[in-house]
Amino acid sequence: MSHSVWVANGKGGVGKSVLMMVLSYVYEQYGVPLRLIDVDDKAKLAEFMGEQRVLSLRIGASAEDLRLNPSLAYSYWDRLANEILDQDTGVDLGANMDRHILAWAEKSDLGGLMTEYDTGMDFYVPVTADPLALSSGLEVLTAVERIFPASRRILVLNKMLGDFAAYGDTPEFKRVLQLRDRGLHVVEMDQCVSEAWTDFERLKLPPARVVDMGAKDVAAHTGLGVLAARRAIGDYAAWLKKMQLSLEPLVATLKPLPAEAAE
Amino acid sequence: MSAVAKLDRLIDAGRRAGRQESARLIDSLLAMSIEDRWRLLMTRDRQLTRLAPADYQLFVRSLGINAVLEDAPATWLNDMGPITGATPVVEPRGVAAGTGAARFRCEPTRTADAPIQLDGPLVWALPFAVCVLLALAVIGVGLPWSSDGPAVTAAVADQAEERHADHLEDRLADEALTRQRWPDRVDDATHVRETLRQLKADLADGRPFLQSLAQAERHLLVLPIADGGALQRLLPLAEAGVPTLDGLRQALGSLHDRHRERTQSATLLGAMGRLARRMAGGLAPAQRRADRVNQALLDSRRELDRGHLNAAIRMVTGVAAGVGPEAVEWLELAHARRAATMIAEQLETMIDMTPSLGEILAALPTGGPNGLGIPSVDVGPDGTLDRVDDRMLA
Repeated sequence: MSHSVWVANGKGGVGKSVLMMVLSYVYEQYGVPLRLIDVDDKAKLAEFMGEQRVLSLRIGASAEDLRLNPSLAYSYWDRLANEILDQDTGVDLGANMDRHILAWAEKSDLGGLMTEYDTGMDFYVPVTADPLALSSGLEVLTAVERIFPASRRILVLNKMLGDFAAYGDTPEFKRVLQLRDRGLHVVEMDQCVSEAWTDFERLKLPPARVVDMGAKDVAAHTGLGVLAARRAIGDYAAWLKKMQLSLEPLVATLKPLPAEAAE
Repeated sequence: MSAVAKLDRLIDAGRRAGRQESARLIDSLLAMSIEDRWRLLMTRDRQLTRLAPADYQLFVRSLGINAVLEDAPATWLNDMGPITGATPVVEPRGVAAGTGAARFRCEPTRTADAPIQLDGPLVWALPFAVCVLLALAVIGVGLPWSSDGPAVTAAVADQAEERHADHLEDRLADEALTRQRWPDRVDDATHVRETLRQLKADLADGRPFLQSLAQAERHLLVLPIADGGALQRLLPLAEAGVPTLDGLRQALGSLHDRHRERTQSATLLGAMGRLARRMAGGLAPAQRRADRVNQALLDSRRELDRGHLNAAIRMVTGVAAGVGPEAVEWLELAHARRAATMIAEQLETMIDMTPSLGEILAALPTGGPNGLGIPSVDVGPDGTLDRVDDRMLA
């Protein structure tokens, strides 16, 4: 039995790759190391996690070619199916790739194939407090419910652009409530307030690397003083811990925490 | 060590470092002049985010206020819970809650809290001192009077008259000068808002802003915007104006079209080869790079369509090396737009804080001193002193 964790939203800048990196970190703590797959022309995940760790499928054709003829890449993506049936995987779909990949999955009956091979699926959709991100995320969730009915669907409210209080009465959130009644999980993703956040991004450092860095290293890379660097690492760790606690209930149901990590 | 324990250790170390850093910082902040401290607060300077809640409160109190900005600066402060003792911010009338510039509520003065009380030795010492002073005054005046009589009286009267005349002369000179300056000062006070609005509109709409900037500087001497020198960097665009989002969108569109045309021939020539390589699971590196640049430019255009300038800048920056000087030029303009937007926001805050003409007029007591320099001495048509406002003598 294998497990596949997907992250997607057609809107860019909603934190897909960051979420994938955090998920990879959290699943690893629970003894489920993920083979990461990046289906994105930009291969952002590979930039952070290293090319050894990430299989960059890219999109098999230029994005413009693909828009003209979506079936161009179908046979290419079949490789993705082989990967996720064989091992525990984390799949990061680039912005604007969700429709193509989901269309391919539907036509290939990937959902049925995964059930047949006993492959579980968690489908995470991060959204920011932005109408486009919300509507695009809901579109993905609706399609996923149809294509992968056995999957767990998780809406991640990424608060980097602010909280979602203003959306309480919108049709989008009524739709979220409907989906929640049908099994949608909703988790929150706080904004990381670490002063060195943008530096960590610039240096392409994934969470597991950041928490291993010493204050001296961070100070040298960011130009912060050592105290400020230590505080920045502490803020980052606080954010990561919050993320871990939010995601724990979902991850813990897959496999029990290894004895060493549970101490 | 488990992962969570490791994170906890880092969090604790971070908090300890934060407290040490805050303790160091507060000393240097409190050593600053009050003007500099106000500037830091009003511009929400990044340094303030490094203060622990207690130190932040100390800093705010050092300005004589007992309230904090509604959106108190925070990085690690968020982790420390709400700042204790913060008073809810009261918005002035006409400003809806949560909009406009943050306002402050002044702390009651010390004497309002605890009026001075006469107790202990003061109860006896003060009346005694008053009695002694009165006795000395009686002796000082009475002694010469009793000895020289009328001569002394005349001399004292002369001296008093002379002093009075000198005093009046000085005051008339002052008042004349004040009258002379008054129109300028009223002009300044009443036009500041209008001037700031004009500068803000010019920056926002991409119009030349050289004239409005000069006007603003004339009225405010030095434009008190702490923008990290952004305004200075915009000066080269003062005559042409900072391009608007729409202008940037068009410029990026033509840049993208030109780049696509340039890379198209390579696309056609390499079509067969690419097809073969695509079957094998990859694209030629050069083609992939060109595709990546084109895609990034396309995405940037979309971000701009949605009004996301920062995202567009980030994307174009990522591929600027692959596009060439055109992209660098575009980025310069885009950065200028971002700076102009930031300055326009600061100007909005200044406009909000500057009294309107109505408020200025409402603050003027009829015929009295008002802090703006209205003469308190009225001189009649014949040049004689007509009326003196007693408050000027205080």
